[in-house]
Amino acid sequence: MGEEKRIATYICRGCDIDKSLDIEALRNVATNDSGIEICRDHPWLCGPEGIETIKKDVNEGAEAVVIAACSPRAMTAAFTFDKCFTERVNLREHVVWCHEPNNEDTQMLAEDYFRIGIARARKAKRPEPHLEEVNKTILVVGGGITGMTAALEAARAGYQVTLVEKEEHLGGWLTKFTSLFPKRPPYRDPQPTQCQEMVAEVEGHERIHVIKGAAIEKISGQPGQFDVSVKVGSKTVTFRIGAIIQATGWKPYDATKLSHLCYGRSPNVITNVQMEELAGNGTITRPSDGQPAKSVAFIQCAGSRDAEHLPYCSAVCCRTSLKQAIHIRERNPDAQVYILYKDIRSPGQYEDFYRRVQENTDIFLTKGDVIGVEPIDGDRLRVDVENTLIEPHIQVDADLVVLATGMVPVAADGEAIRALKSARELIAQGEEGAKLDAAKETVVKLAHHEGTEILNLDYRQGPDLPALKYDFPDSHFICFPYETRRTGIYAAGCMRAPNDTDACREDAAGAAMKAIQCVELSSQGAAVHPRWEDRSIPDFFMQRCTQCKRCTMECPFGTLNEDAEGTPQPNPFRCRRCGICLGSCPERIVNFADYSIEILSSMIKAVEVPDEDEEKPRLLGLICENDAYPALDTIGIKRLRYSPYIRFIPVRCLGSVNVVWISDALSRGYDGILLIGCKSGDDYQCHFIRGSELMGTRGENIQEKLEQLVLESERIRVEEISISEYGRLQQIIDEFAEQIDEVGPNPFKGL
Amino acid sequence: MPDAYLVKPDREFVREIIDLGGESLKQCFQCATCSISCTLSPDRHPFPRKEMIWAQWGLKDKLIGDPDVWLCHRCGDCNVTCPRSAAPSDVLAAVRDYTIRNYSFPRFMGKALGKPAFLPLLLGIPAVLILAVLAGLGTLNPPPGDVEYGRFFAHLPLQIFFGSFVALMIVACLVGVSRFWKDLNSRISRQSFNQSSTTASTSSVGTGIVGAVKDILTHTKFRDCTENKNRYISHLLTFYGFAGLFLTTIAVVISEYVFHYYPLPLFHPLKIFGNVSTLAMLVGVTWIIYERARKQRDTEISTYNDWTFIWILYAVIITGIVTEILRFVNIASVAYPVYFVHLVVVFALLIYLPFSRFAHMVYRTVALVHARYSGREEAVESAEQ
Repeated sequence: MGEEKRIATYICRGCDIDKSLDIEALRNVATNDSGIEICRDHPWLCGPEGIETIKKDVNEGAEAVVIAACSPRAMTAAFTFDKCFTERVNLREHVVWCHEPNNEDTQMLAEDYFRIGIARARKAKRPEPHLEEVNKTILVVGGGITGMTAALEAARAGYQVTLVEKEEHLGGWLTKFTSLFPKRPPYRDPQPTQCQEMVAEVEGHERIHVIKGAAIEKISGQPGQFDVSVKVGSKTVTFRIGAIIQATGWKPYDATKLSHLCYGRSPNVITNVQMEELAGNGTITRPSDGQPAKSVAFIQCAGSRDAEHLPYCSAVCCRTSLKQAIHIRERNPDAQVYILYKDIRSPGQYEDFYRRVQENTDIFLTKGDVIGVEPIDGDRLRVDVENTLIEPHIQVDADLVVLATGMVPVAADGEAIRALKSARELIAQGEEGAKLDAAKETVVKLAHHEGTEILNLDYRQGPDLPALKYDFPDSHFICFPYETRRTGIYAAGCMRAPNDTDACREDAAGAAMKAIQCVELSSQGAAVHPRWEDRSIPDFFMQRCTQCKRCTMECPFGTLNEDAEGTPQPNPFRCRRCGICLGSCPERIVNFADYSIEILSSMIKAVEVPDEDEEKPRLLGLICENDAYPALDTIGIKRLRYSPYIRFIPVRCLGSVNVVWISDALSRGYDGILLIGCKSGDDYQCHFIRGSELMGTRGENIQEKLEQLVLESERIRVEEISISEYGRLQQIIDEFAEQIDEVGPNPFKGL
Repeated sequence: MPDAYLVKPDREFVREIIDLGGESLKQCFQCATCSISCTLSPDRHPFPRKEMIWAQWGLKDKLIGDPDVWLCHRCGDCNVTCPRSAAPSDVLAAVRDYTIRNYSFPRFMGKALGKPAFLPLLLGIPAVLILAVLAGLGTLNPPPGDVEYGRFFAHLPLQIFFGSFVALMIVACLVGVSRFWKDLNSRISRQSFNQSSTTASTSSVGTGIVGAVKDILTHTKFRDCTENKNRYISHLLTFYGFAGLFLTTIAVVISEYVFHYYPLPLFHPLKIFGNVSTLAMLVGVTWIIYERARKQRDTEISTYNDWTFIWILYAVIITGIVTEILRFVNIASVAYPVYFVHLVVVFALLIYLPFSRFAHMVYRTVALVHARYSGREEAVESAEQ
């Protein structure tokens, strides 16, 4: 075997490694078996002396180093070397801490992991960053409190900002509010909105360019290179920007759907938004006859937390009603105010504001279920409330009823818009039969998406962000706040989740930070969060592409557009480097410099599979490096034990597993394959959204493969775990090992 | 489905309850910690959570004549556990005060007792009346010689004077009680313990009285309170001291008129019994004053109504003791004025009973009787078992 690449290998003897393993035998794996000249062991490799040794070798021309020591999650900075590919072999957490010391099987495990590491070092290349000219201007869509804050935050951080607003003025809802509920101690009195000051600051900022009365016609390109054309009046302006913050806000829930609460049946039933308008103008009067309102009843959760309307809580309506109750008491000193609630939600310090409102002897609050509102004697209204503590069924008479309606995001559903358009086209083309019926149904179902395009993205997946659960664009609020399914486009404020103004500001600052990270990382040719250290990009070997569109459809981030024939059009800056395209491709033409079909295949094949008569089964674990791998580390840290017959190879995402690796493993003689990804479903935990889900759909192919090979379906198992479930992971491994023991050896072993 | 209850909040009532010491009532957010921590509250129809929201909404018709308000013995457990410092115990006390005032006959007396401005007048009336009687009897200046109170205010006129006012007081009590009883009965159909409780049963008014008196004599309800253990003893001492003196007074009157055996020697058992009762009351009320003063800053509010009742009672005890001592030491110039003051405060204590905090004796007893009569008490007991 001609050694093309200069590889240096190292074995750390610290952290109990040399107490459990035969280091000399391990060295032989590198020197004798693999023919690598340099294999050094050190009692404490991560110490200054060890690091110096490695650096010396790198300076003398080693192109790749294989470090057999602890988990790559430990000592990452110490073991990172410029100009050199580094492969870590996890002897500590995955071998010595969780397997019997000085045991034959433990030794074999360590040697196999060393071989896997060397195999990868041989094939993998150090990725060269993909550098293109990157524009660092931030585009903010929406000029409400979120948009204005985002613009200011980004501008204060030194970035150019373009803010587009559809109205002729900035401020959004803030311009319509009388006051805000108190944000500062002692949380007693409503505070001014300070909208004018904020608008003036935004418009006067040297780095913020405001475009009002604007509509986005089209956004094409990728992060760092988005080309935007905006229509202002009859003119169209075009410019380039680097990242986008969408802060298009909210609209009130359609109160006309609340006719059971008398909305639309009596002019004296109004929404909290209408109340906000009334509260700004002197005495609060009944719309029906202009008489001062002597009693006002607030109905909380009007159409909220209600399966038939909005199933969620909009977070602000309780505090808004408390604030409006104070306004009513100030404006109409004789008025009695009733607040009828399901629960008063006044989180954190707002409890003080709630208490302050309660103190007022003319504000009456009760929990209860409002079952209806009916007009009585002319202009008055009678509210029926059940399940109150006052009585099982009470009635409250009021001059004015205020419905505390919730927030609906002003977001457009790109995929739905696209589906609506194609259904319309189908109908226009004169399709017949079942297809026509389906198209008509689609049109009815999605009709409300007509004309709702906001960003008008030139993306295969549709012109806007997807509207997912409750019509909000999805992002994990802890792990991936503000991120969306389109790289470089961040959602903030009430279009992301119902928020009060403080939370909107927080969102705006966070989204601005994300947008800045995006343009900065793109300029370095690096991926955005979570693989921000990754400089590899997918390489498509187009000559062999069959235009099957699997990669373009499966990419969770809309990275790939298609040309008319269906050939993928890569946009490297949109890519998150999850490798799902690599996993999807039946022609295996998608590869990364350090993560490819070939690299993983050679790693899988590097394991020495014992003969059938040795009764030492071999199992392969392809595990997600984001959750399952750290959980496996935890098993080691907790010193738990599991079968020494399994060999784990981390993958970028379970969605990046190509079926060819499975057939490689089966033909190599592995007896079973365990595939472990992150949780899927509504509360998914996958970093790349659909990894586990896609593995499920590819499962069909895998079963097919097993049938072709006349193998038992039990040999392959797909599991989902979260990072904290190390106990369950240990169980899964041992159960799987037992199961494979029962199924028996792979008949292809040794062929 | 019960009939809908049309809510008409009475803001004036809310303010009055606040003025009567329920100042924290608006802080309640109906978490029910009070009902859970109360050792007297049954699982069925618990209190005082519902009373708290009725008070917040100013639902006077629900609170006046609510028997549960009187089941509370104000131990203060709920005040301590309340997460909102809404002090349900104080609020119920205020509602009770309002109830007493509401049923008072004549009504202005209830109002007058609650206002500090009327205190000089209220004490002035008995002072003037007594002076007038003494002037009529010609004993304003008692004859010289050994101190003998009978020569200052002769026994027969004294007994006629106080007897007739006590009769008026009893009439006032009966009017108040009958109004209260009527309201209690009108609410029974609404609360209907018997329908919802499988084990509870009603009893006659007679057995109700027996049960209630047993409860009162043993102070069982007080004993259940955890936060205020010592009130059980202090109230017990005060109660038995008062009862002892009441019995002594009756016995002495009988002795004088029936057996013509008067005055009694100092070491006569009846005399000893009376003095021991006085001492018990002295200890009990001193203790109550100390506890209330200590808590005033912290967990429990004592209002003007509480303090006037307690201090008048205390004044009765102190002047009584001093009067007795002064007779033995025989200092006429001080003895007769002190005795006069004693008579004035006794009048204020006894005759104003239906309008002062002292009325709790009557209303709570009636409420306890009614609780048995209506089946409420059985509902409470069965829930406890």
